[in-house]
Amino acid sequence: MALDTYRIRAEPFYQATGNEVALFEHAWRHRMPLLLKGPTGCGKTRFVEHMAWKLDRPLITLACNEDMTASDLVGRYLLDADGTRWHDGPLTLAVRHGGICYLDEVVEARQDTTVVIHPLTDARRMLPLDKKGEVVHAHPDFQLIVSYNPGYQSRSKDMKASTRQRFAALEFDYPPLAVEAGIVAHETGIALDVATKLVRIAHQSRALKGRGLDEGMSTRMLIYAGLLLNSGLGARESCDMALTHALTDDPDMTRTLRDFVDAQFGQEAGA
Amino acid sequence: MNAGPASVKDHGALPGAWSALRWLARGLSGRDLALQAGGSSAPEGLPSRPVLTPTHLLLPDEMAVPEGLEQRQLCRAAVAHAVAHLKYSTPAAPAAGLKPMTVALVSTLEDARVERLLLREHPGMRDWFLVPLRRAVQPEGVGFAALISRLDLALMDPACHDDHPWVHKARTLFEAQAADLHDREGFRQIALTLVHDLGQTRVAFRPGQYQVPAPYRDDNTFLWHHEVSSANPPPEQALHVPQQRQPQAMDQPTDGAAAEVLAEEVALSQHLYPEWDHRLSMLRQDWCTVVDKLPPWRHASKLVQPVSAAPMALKRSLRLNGGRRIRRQPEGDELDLNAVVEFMVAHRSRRAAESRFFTRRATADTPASILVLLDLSESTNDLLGDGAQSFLDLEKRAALMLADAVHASGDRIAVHGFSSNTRSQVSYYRLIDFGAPIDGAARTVLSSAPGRHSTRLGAALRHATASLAEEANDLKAILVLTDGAPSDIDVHTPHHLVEDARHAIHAARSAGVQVHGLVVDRHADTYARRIFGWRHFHIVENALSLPTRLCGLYRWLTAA
Repeated sequence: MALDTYRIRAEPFYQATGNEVALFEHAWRHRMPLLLKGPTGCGKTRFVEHMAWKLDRPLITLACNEDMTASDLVGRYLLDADGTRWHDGPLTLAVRHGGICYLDEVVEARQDTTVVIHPLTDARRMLPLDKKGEVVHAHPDFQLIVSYNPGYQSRSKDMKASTRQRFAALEFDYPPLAVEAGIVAHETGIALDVATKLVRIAHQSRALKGRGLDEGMSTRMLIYAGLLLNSGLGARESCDMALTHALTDDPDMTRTLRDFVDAQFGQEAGA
Repeated sequence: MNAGPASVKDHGALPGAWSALRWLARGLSGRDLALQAGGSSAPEGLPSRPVLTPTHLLLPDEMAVPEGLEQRQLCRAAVAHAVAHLKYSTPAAPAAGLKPMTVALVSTLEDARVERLLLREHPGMRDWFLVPLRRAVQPEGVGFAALISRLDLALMDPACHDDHPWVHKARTLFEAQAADLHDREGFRQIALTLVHDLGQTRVAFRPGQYQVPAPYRDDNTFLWHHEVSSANPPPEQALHVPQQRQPQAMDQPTDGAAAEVLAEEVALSQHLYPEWDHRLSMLRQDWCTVVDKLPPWRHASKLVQPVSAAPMALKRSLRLNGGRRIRRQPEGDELDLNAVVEFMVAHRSRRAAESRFFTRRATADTPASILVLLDLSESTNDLLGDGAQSFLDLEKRAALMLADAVHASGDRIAVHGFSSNTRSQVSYYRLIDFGAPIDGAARTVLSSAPGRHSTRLGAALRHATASLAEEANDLKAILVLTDGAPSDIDVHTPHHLVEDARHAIHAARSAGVQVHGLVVDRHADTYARRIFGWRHFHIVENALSLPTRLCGLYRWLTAA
């Protein structure tokens, strides 16, 4: 099958924090387009990978950016020795052969690019390739998922209402303390009590969101810190590198974040 | 043991320390704790200690920093200790009927108890407390304060050996109870036992001469409710809690100069605007009279100074990523594949073809019109935390800084201000208008805008929206700077002006005008969100950061 290379072979680790797996399966049953929203690094992409593995569907992921054009999604003519040849874009591939297409950070793409998904995300479920003069009717297993991080984008990067209304939405947030610590410990191999300290630091930084920080520390950052710790780097150095300096340039905020680290790791952090 | 006092108030010596401490408090407790210079009125010859209230932590001007310790470390410990009280203590327990010594001892054990609880979640903090406790201890002393200092250390430092029988007993009892740190009554009983023992050994307690020995701990007035006696005013009175302003019904110039200032204001034109009545869900037509005025610029007391002499770095960062691709260029950064294909197709079919198949980045050419709307109400005359300037000065400086930067960038900017004295007189000042040069004259006009009366935000917003209607640019925005919720003296219905402002903003947005608010009021969460809407307001906690926040907002707004 055309999309075999997009299949996920091994189970990606995902720790559910609510009933999101069941909700996703319900949406999947109807091939309903899904919008996943939540702060950066809280596990949206991992969740999609896990679900694609669980449902045994190929997963085509596209990280959106503002230079992306509609052709980058649906495909374009390329030149070869004999003339021109149509090349399906990733979205068309998924539509044609029945995969899950995941547009990561969809608001990064320009709004006029994202309108190509409109006919796919209503009852029509089709993708017109106007340059090729073909209409691709979606494979019964095709599903579209987009992710979106409300909060830090600029004004012009909000989603168009007409796009947004085509999706059912799942809201993500950082998991509860114990669960998040479990995730960090699992992903990095550090002890659970050390992971708990890292998560506490993150919680304190998240309380400063909008008051000096645009975003608090994400689970992903904690995993980086945990990996550094596990490879023998000191607590202060690991946290400076993966958390404090990664998050802010403001010297006062740096001081505060370091205090949070000190409050967990004490003298050993400074050593 | 104490080294010379160092001043917390000295912002020069500790730049940024306040915001770092404020963030620390918020991060640790999850809520806001206002920090302020202050502290307990210390008995003669004793250093003063921090004072905690449910909303404020007052740090003494002359905080006695022990030798070998940085002031910052002491302040950090003070914040952590305050957070421990806020999280785990019950404030204002009745002190009636308790001996002063009992109060002091219960407080000591409570300090140790809440710190223990805090350490459970923040094990690294032990050092924060341990270092100052080690400095403060009087190892050989047997007076009350000395014993308390020994007990403080013994309870914090597992490695400490103190062979004083009373300290030893206290420590044993405490550790036995420490299995259940949430049982306050248990600790109280221990305190009573210990007081009794001290009575047996005739250790004297002189209430006027005792101060909590640990320099970072608050004076524990937070924990107790004393019957009010006129001799000792409660510490809350030392706070600058913003007072509800007594509205001035009419202009009451206090002296001739003020009257002259008022007389010089020239009314240029009058405009009628509706006002939204949320209880009736209807617009009251022609309800407010907005008067365009010239400020009394001849009376400008002092010119507004820009925040920094160097121009803002706004121009460079502006729209860096606002790139747009121009297609069909004869030369450029990348091939436009579609154009190439068309070229090849045309070439093979032997038709004449255009060889313009490159794409190139162009900067976005969508100029913006920005209107900065300043709150010129009476409350803006209040001096800020640093005591050197008022909110009025600061918002003018912020606006001027932005105007300078924006003007150079090709966008159009205006700075308007407003105040209201009932619905019949909403004064509206066009301090810097669109397209006007920002020169000495503009600066004088801006400097002279007076701060008085109230804040009828809705009417001013409608007038500002009307001014923006004449602007041709696609991106239009009003940035509102204010220090509190809208109010006016002829409005007695709560939320009325909030709802009216919300309605005005809704109308502005329908007219294609963005409205964003910067609110310098820690308690603005509810009303600011109601007025401006989710993601359209920012609460500025540190008023001094207003200029940077304003420029940040502009940058966010205009980034493509």
